[in-house]
This record gives sequence, C-alpha cells and structure tokens, in this order.
Amino acid sequence: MKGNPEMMPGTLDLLVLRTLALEPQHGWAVARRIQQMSGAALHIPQGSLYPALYRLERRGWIKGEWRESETGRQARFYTLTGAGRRHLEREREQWRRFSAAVNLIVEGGEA
Amino acid sequence: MSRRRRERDMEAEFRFHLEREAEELRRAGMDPDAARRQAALTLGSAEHWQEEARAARRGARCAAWGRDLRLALRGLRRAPGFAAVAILTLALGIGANTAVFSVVEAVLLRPLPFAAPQQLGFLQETDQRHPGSRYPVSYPDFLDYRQAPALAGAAVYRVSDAILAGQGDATHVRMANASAGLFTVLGVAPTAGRGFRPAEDRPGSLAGVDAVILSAALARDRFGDSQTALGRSLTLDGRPYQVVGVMAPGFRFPLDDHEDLWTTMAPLQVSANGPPLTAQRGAAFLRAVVRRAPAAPAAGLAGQLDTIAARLQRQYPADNAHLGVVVEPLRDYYSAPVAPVLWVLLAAAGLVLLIACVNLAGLMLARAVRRRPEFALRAALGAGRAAVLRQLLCESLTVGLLGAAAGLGLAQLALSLLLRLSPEGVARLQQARLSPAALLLAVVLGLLTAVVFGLFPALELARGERGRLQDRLRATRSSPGGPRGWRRGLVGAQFALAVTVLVGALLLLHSLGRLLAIEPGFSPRQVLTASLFLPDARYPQPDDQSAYFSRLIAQLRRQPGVSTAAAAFGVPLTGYNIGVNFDLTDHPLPPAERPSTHVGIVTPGYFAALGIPLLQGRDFTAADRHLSPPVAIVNRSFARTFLAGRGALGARLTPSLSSYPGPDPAYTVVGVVGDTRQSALSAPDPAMLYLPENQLPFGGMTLVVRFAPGAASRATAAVRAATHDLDPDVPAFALQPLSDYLSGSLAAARLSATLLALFASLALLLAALGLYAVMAQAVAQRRREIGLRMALGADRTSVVRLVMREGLTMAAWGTVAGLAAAWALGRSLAGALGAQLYATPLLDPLAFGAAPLLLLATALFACFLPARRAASADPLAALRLE
Repeated sequence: MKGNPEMMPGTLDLLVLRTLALEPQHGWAVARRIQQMSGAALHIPQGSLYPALYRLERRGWIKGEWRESETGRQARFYTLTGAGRRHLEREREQWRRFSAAVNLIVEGGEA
Repeated sequence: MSRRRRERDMEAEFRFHLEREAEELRRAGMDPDAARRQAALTLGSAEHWQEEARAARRGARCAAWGRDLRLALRGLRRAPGFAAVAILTLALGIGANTAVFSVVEAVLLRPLPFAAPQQLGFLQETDQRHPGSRYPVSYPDFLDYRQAPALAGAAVYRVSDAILAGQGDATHVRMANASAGLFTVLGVAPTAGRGFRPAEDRPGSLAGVDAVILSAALARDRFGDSQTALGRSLTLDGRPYQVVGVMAPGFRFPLDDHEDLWTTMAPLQVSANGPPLTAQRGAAFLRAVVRRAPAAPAAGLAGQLDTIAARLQRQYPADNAHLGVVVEPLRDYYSAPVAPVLWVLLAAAGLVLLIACVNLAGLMLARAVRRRPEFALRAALGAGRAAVLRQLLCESLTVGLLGAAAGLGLAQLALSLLLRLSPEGVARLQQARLSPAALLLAVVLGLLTAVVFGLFPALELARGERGRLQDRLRATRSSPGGPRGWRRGLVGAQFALAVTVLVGALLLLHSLGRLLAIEPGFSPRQVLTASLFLPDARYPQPDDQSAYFSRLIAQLRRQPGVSTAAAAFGVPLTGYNIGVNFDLTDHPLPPAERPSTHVGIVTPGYFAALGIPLLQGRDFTAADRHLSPPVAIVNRSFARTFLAGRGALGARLTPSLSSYPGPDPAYTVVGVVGDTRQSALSAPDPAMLYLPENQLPFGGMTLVVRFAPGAASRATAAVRAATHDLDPDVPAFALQPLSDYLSGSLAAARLSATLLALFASLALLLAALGLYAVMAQAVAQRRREIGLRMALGADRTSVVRLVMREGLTMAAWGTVAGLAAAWALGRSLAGALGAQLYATPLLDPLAFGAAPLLLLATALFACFLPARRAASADPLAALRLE
C-alpha cells in the first residue's frame, strides 16, 4: 500500500456510491473496482469498506440483497437507490467545490 | 431484522469476501494456503473493524449527535463571553417566569383541595343599595337560605381566637366554629376518627360536652399522634370538649387562615344573658359555603336564593331591609383579591422573557454572522447543510438547556424569597412550589427560544450559501445588509417591551410612595399590642371583665419602661372591626334607614396611648362606670357626617348593640377625637363611635402599651408577666409592635411594587445589553468607514455623534412604540391595575414621563461605550484592516 494517498473522511462514501452508480456490486467487487478505476492509486483502507457500506445502507442510499455472484455463490449485492443517486449528485457538487477551494489555496489563486 | 440474523448475515458476507479474495490470489498463482492467509491479511484484523461495522449497521446517528453536543460545548467554552451572556439572559427570563408561574399555579390555577370544587360557592349578603357590598350572614338567615332546592349542601363557619387548656399550658389557638355539615359539604373527612354529626350543633350532645376536631399538628403537639388524641378531653375558653376526629396534615379551612381546631355551632348556641348569637337575625357574623346540586344550573340557584331573600326582607324589615344574597364560586372568593396583581406580574415576567429572547436572537445572529467563514469552510470540506444545521441547532439546544437549568435555579431562589416576603392571608400562597408544570414550561420555553432563534441564523446561512465560495470564505466582518436591519428591529422591539414594564413598575412605585406618605392619624412607633380573650365561662359577669382590664392596665403602667397602657377593641389595622347601626336619639329614623358606623370599645387613656388627638371635650375616665350616665366619643369624620350643624358635644346616640335585654340606652357625646385609618392604610378614615369599656364590657380586647425608647423587649416581658400573674389561664397572644400592622397593611403593595420594579430593572438591563451588543457590532463593522471619515478630517466628536445618533434613534423609536403600547395596555388593564393603585391615575404623568427618560438615559450609556471606542480607533489601522 505504498504511495496510497490518505483518504479524507467522507470521500470513501463518495467513491463507493460512484462505483455502485455503474452497476450493483458486492463488497469485494466494490473494493476491486475502486482500485482499478483509480489506476491502483487508491486502496480501500483496511476494514473501512464494510462499515461504509452499512452506513450508506442505513441512510437509505444503497440497498443490499443476497444474489448469485459471478462464481455461482451467494453474495450480498448493493444497489444504488433513488435517494442515493441524488445524494451522489450533491456529494459530487461538494467535491467540485472542495477541489476548487483546495486549488484556490494550493495554486495561490487571487480572486 | 433480528440481531442474530444480522450477525449471521455479516459473517456470511465476510466469508464470501475472504474466499473471493483467496480465489483471486490462487488464480494469480499463489498456493491455496498462502492465498487464504494473504486474503485474511488484506481484510485486516477482523476483531477490530467488525465492531466498527456493527456500529455502522446499528446507526451512526446517536454518535453524530453526541459528537455535535461535544462540539457545541467546546464551541461555547471557546466563546465564554457569548455563552455567559446568552445563558444568563435566558436564565433571567425563564427564572422570572417560572417563579411567577409557580405562584399563579398554586394560588389561581390549581383546583381547590375539595371534592368537585367547581360546585362549591361562597354565600354572602349584600346591601342592594350598594352594589358590590358583601356582608356575612346570620345563623337564622342561613337556615332559611339552606332550604333552596338547588343546594346539595350548605354550611356556615366563623373563625376566632380561643384559649386551649386541659393538657399542658393554656395556649392561644385559632378555632373555627362550623355547622356540623361543613366537612360533608367540602367533601373531606378526618384521617382519624369521624366528622361531626348533625345533632352535635346542639350544646352538650356528647354526654354533656361538645365535639371538637383537631388539626394533625395540634394532635401531634398535644397528644403525640392522631390515634391517641381520639376521645380525649380538652377545655376551650373554659368549656369542656371531646376530640372526635383529626384532620389530615396540611388540611386547611378556611384556606386563607390557619386553624388549629374545628368545633360545631354548639358553643354559640348558649348565652349567659339574652338570646344567643345564633338566635339573632341581626347578628351577621357567619361565612357560608354552599354546594350546588350537580344537576342544578347556577342561575337556578341564584333565582331560588333571591326569592328567599325577598321573603326575608318582607318578614323581618328591622334586620333584613335591603339585604340581598350573592353566591360566587369559592375559588373566586379566595383568588379575587390577588388575581389582578398576579396576572400583571405574570404579564411583566412574560415581557421580560420576550426581551430576553430577543436578546438571545440578536446574540445568536451576531455569532452566526461572525462564523460565516467557518461554516463556509466546513461546507466546502464536505459537511452537508443538514450537518451544519444540526450543529447550529445543537448549539442552540445546549444554550437553551443550560439557560433553562440556570433559570430553574434562579426560580427556586426567587420563589423562596418571595414566600418569605409575601403578606399573610393570601390563600394557598405558601403551598407554591416549583411545580412540574412550571418546570415543563421552563424547559419548553428554553428549548423553543433556542430552536426558533437558533434556526434563524441557520436559515440565514443557507441563504448565504448561494454566493460564491470565495466570497463566503472571505466574508469578513464588513458584510453589510440583512442581519443588521433585523437587529435594529429587534433592539427597537426590546425598548418597546421594556418601556411597557417600566411604566407599570413606576405606576406601582408611585402608588406605594403615596401609601407610605399617608398619615394614619395615630403614632405607631413604640407601641406594643397584645390580644387577650376573656372566656365568658370564666368571667361570666360583665363587671368581672372590666375589673380584669383595669387591674391589668394599672399593673402595666407601674412597670419600668412602660409610659402608658390601655386596652381597646378596634385598634387601627389589627383587623378587629365591627360596625353597628345607630340612631340619633333626638331625631329618630325608621329602622331601615338608620346609618351605620365603626365602633371602638376603649378604656380611659387609649387615645393618649395611641397619640390620637383629643379635639373637643374630654376622654373617658374611671368615673364613667356601669351605672353612671352612658357616654360616647366620636371622631371628626363621624361629627362631620352625622352631626354637622348640630354641635357634636351633647348629642345623644342610640347604637343597636342588643347585648343586654331591653331597650338600647342613649349615649351622650362627651368628646371628639382625630380620624384614624382603620381597616387598611388605603381605605379612607371611617366614621368611628367610641364607647367606654366600663359601660360596655367586652371579652376580646387588644392591649396597647406605649414604651420608652429601647424598652421594647422589657414591655413584652412585662405584658407576659402581668397577664400570667393575673390569670394564667388567659394568655396574651399576638404580641407585636403596632408598626408591624402598619407595614403588614403595606406588605402587598410593597411586594408587588418591588417585584415589578425588579422585572423593570431586568428589562432595562437586557434592553441595554441588546443595544450595546448591536452598537458594538455596528462599530466593528464600520471601522473602515469610520477610519475613512477620520482620515478625511472628521473629528472624534462627530464620530461619537454619528454612532450615538444611530443607537438613540433605534431606542427612541422603540420607546415611542412602547409608550403607545403601555397606554393601550393600561387602558385595557384598568380594572386589574386600577385596583392596585392608590391615589395614582392610570395615565400618571410621572410614570409616563420618567419611563422614557430612564430608557433614553440607559440607551445613552449603552451607546456611549461603542461610540467612544469608534472614535478612539486609529484611522490607519482601521483602513489597513481590509
């Protein structure tokens, strides 16, 4: 896990939601997908994936159900709900603002 | 989902994850065992995070609230000034409200402690020529009224002082004589023994003695406990009684008195000379409680009673001419004297709370504006609006709860102080406790205030979120607009509220000042009073009573430190007042038209002892005896009202005393004395007819002992010793300086004026604080502008003027609006407040003039500090600030 940038609180949720926006996935696949999509730059921190999934499920943003997996075994698949989709949009807007703010400081923007 | 199911679910999920990871590693060429170990490693130490996962599943909501609460507490600790002012402001408002509400609840709102209290009424007679007049009833009249079919029950009582002997020392007790049905009518029963039986209204019904019911306190003091007291014998005023019952601890009736025991009408049904009191239709000395039949409407009862009263008028013109009857709800009878002042106080406390809330709103708003950049940053860092809102709410709730808690503490303090200072005789006042209702009210008020005014900044913030992030991050103190407009309105409102309370307080204070300036007509200083009651059974002959008093007075006058002593019935402000009808012997009138007057029965030297001036003629002397020509002294009011143009001295009067059989004797006026206040300081001097104690012996008298300066305790000891020597079974009671009665008469007015003045000071303080906060903030916001002005040549004076003008304008608008409100309020409260005011008009120029001046002076002070700070700012520094 060398060179893995420290993840800011709240960003994991965003990543998970974004991943599930593509298609319903089980936990292992979510971790895998994030790793792939980030060009292996991002590694899900140990033991934060499932707490994040449960938290999101509790808030009604994703929904879990047992289904047959690609290997033919039963796995818990998570689907993005309508509320989750709206939340994701808000989070992405926040993220854009945050990066703008960080840029403002890091790039020394004089407005 | 059940807990176990959830746990199984989670385990299955983790197992799947591990196997899937291992499979992947195997596919990459790792041998199965190593793959499994490696997979377990990637997932991390299961023990540690599985617990976290469980918590996430259970819900992070409580955790988030807890974190917000900690955050709020930390935030408040970082801003101790804001926290202290906000919490104290709220505490003062809530404390004042809760204390007053507790009293209102105890005195006005709580149901009376009797069965179905709404059916209970208080029956009195009224002189139909004077609407609103209220008199006690006579026993024969009561027996007639009781026949009304709409009544489920009725009883009469009177309270008096008595001497209890027979078990331990003779002591003074408060006693109520009640008709046997009283407790049945009230729907209460003794906790030990039984109530009275109807037959016990007749004398000697229990094998020659009468029945008595004790209070729990007296039973404990005299016999140890209630059960032991049952069946025991007592002597009251020389008559034997047997204890048949003991009431529950804390039971009181009447509610505005403190009775030690209750007996029946039996002792009033006997008389050594002449017909007993209970047989005289003219002897109106009884209070009546009635219970309306549940089905009967109040109007039906009133109609039936009116019919009976009309019949009595025709049947007994000498005693019942012009007499009508009124029944008012029992609760109103007790609450009517205090209800107006309590409602006014509650209204004032409510206004103080409003001002406090307005202050709190301003404080919260200012804080929110200051923290805009902080929240903008937090929003940028991913805190949703809900999170920000939750944090703000959490902070408001914390302030609200802390304020409510501190307010409750203040209320408890205020209440105990209030009970200590409050006048006696207010029914149920001493039962006032911080009630659950008041407690709930305080918490609800605190939370509501905090949430409503805490939400406002949050909404304000939400509105501001539309701006660009850069702007909001850079939003410093110089942001103009919205909030300041709001806050100016709030300050104006505060001053409007404060002036209303202030006008009310000044009205009461002015009225109190007028009361304090009253000349009572006697000099109350250095006069000790003591009550004595000579039982008929012990002093059966009128001359025995006279002899007792002349010996007692002679002995007291010999004591060192005593300058003079006398005895009287009807000493001013002691509460002993009787009125009699009388006739001018030489110009007789028909019985129904005879005027009435207050009566005093006095020994020689009484006027000198009290410092009442003798204006004409002479005082009574020892020569005015039983068989000498009857003489009388009148006061100036009497002479002016009834003897104008006739010359008072030598006039002959026939009072209807009916204490001896046969025609009433004629009394010749031999002196005229000055007027005195009698029943209350605020009541005008009544006409007084004084009769000599020697010619009209009276068992219940008040000793007045004028003592030398500094000899108060010696005089008290002398009275105790002299009465004990003379007759140990006749103890003197209620030993207190006459000046106590005077201040007692003022206690209610003083208390309400003090409380309202306190509320007004709070209102003033809070309004000043609000104005100061706004002005200080305004000055801080305008530092750049002020700096610019000064850099361009404005001098300090003009800067001060600029700031002061802005602040005073706000205060002035508020004050004008408040005066208008006070005027309108005063008019609608005329009934409530008017009764409290003595010689002070509702639109008192003093109150309406002084209130705005006081407020403007306060505003001036509140504005001056920020103005001076603005003027003393360094223009360059102010400019560089941006």
